[in-house]
Amino acid sequence: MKRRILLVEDDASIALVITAALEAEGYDVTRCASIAERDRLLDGQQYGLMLTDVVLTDGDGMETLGRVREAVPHMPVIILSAQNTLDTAVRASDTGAFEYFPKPFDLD
Amino acid sequence: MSGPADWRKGGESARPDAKRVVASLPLAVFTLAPDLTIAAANPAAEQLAGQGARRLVGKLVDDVFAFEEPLILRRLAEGEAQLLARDSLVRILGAPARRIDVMTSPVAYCPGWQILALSEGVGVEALSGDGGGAGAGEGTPLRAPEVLAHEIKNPLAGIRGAAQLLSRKVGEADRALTDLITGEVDRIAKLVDQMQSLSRRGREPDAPCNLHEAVRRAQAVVAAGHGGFVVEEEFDPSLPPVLANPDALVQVLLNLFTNAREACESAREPRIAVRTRFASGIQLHAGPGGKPLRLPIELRVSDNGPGIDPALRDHIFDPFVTGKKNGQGLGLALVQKLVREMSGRVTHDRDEVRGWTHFRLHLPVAGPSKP
Repeated sequence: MKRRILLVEDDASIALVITAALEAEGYDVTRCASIAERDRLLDGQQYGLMLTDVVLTDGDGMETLGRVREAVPHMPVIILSAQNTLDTAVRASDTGAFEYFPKPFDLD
Repeated sequence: MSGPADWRKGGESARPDAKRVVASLPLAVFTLAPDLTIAAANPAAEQLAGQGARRLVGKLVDDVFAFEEPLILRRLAEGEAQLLARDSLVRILGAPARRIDVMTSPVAYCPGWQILALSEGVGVEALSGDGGGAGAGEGTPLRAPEVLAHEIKNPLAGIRGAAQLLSRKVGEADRALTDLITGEVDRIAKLVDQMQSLSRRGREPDAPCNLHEAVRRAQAVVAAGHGGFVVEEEFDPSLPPVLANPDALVQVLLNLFTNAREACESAREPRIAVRTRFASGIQLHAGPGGKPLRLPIELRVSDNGPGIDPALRDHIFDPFVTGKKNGQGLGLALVQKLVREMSGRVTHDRDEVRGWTHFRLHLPVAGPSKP
């Protein structure tokens, strides 16, 4: 069975390349562009991994990770952020994120 | 307690000169020559125009600005009158029009010379604090540099990713082209990071730290990146801890060491030296609350390169000023910003006789200040 990945990214070009790269590796990617949509998808489906942007149209993808952690405690989360600061890396670590990729990131 | 009369006791040396006052203004100030070319621009003006003073100087005012209100340009051409146009639509270097307050005024005792001052009402932290000022959306977590970084790096991430996907499909011969795209994207991202660090506020407070330890850390980083990085050391082992931010201090030293290494690359026998000493005579009236603060700890980084171009020496700490062929001119601007945040001072001088360029940091000592 294909592994399912949830991609929360409101930038269409980034979403396109990440989806293409992951699908080429055999993953099944579901994309959404907002926190509201993310929460709705997590409510109904199970994912093996979530990749999320920080600055989203309806809020901060990292600040709202607490409720994702409560709902799906075992799902690893990878943060994608354009803010390459120590503060962002520390915040990512504090929210229990599995990994933090500063943009622009290396697909390999 | 320092009273308002304290600065008077210090005489003229305690008073900032007019150049420094203009450079510190949050208002964009352009000095216009009689032929309406830009003769000078302060840092706020550089920021508003999005170009360094070096590029702006010599340009005609109407090549840089397009004023919707024709009276502004007419008054500038007449050169005699003061004018204040509030919320006027202005296009700067072809960018979309912005609402800006525009002021013009002749320079006293300099016939034909004028000041053009513009204020957009942004860039100065709102008095109400984090994001609460006019124009900031409720709960907005970002400020201008962060927004800029986000808007640039998101498309870069897309471009980089697309180039990497393509590189998997093209032959070896064409891979050089996709590598070029990813390499150049990384270069732009690095530049954005540097600009972001230049405008970042809100760092960790200063704490006692060992200057020599910071030197060692910075040396190790430069050596890891460039093998064979040898530094002649002259350390004062009795130096007390400095009051500084350890990470900022390492960043400052990294930039100074990197510059020194690059500056003496072409020398027949490249030499870099670092010296620390206790220099009790140095004082700066810039402590918290305006109290005089002693800066007795001196660190000097020297190289035997050809020295900074004399034309650039007075501006070498300004953003976008560089003597390097491929430099962005942000390294020393960041050094100055970080050193100032630590209530310190950075200067440079050239010893033509011995052929050395020196950069000196003066920092406060940790602990209660001595009288």
